[in-house]
Amino acid sequence: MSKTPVPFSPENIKTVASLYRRSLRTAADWINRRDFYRAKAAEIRLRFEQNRNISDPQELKVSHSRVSILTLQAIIDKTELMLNKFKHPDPIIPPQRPGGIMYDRNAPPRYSSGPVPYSNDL
Amino acid sequence: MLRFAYSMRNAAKVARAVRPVPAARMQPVRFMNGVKFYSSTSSLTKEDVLARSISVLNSFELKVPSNSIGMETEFIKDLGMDSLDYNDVLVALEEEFDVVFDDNVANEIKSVGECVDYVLKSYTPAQESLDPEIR
Repeated sequence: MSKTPVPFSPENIKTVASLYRRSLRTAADWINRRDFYRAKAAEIRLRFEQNRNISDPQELKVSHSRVSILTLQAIIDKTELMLNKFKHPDPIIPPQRPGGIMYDRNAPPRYSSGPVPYSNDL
Repeated sequence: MLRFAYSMRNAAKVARAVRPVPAARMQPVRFMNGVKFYSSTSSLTKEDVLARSISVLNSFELKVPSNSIGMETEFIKDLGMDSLDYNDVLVALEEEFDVVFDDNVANEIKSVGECVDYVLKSYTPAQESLDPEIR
């Protein structure tokens, strides 16, 4: 994205919501214990809440002007970077979804009873 | 015709003489016994999804009693959630129903009913024909 995001605009809300959802999913990928996941989700929530009231667009996005490119740590880009950094190599995908282990597969049925044992009655 | 029936009777006699099969041991041939064929229709009903969604919503702090939640209830307007709150709900619903809300869809969802419709549309039922242990 090269556009400067507008604070509190619907587009920006969508962007942030998408980031939030992705962070929660990433947390769920890594953490298999429910209580630890809740703690992490609360932390993620806190981090988003901390940046809720930022109204300066320059702060939201790294400005690519010559002066500030190295100094400004913008929040959206930082979040994207963190999401890339912590991306799970083997994320949780529901089995039947594309990419899931059962997607497009047809496991053979198992029969509950085997063949009748042969006995020679002659 | 008569001759044919006679010869058939003879053939049956010969067969019986060669290998007597006790009637009790005869087993009817069952084709694909115990195997159900794949059904492409979703086994979830709208009422199920709504009830489960409401039970998920109950785990959040709501401003309204949960029995007033219906298909038309809007997250932000009626339930008093902000955008992060309702994204929490979406992620919780994803876990509940094993679906993934695509980004474009999730950004447009405003009401419980839209959630329910999306879940019904994208829910892939576990195949009935498969062994639960293999699944």
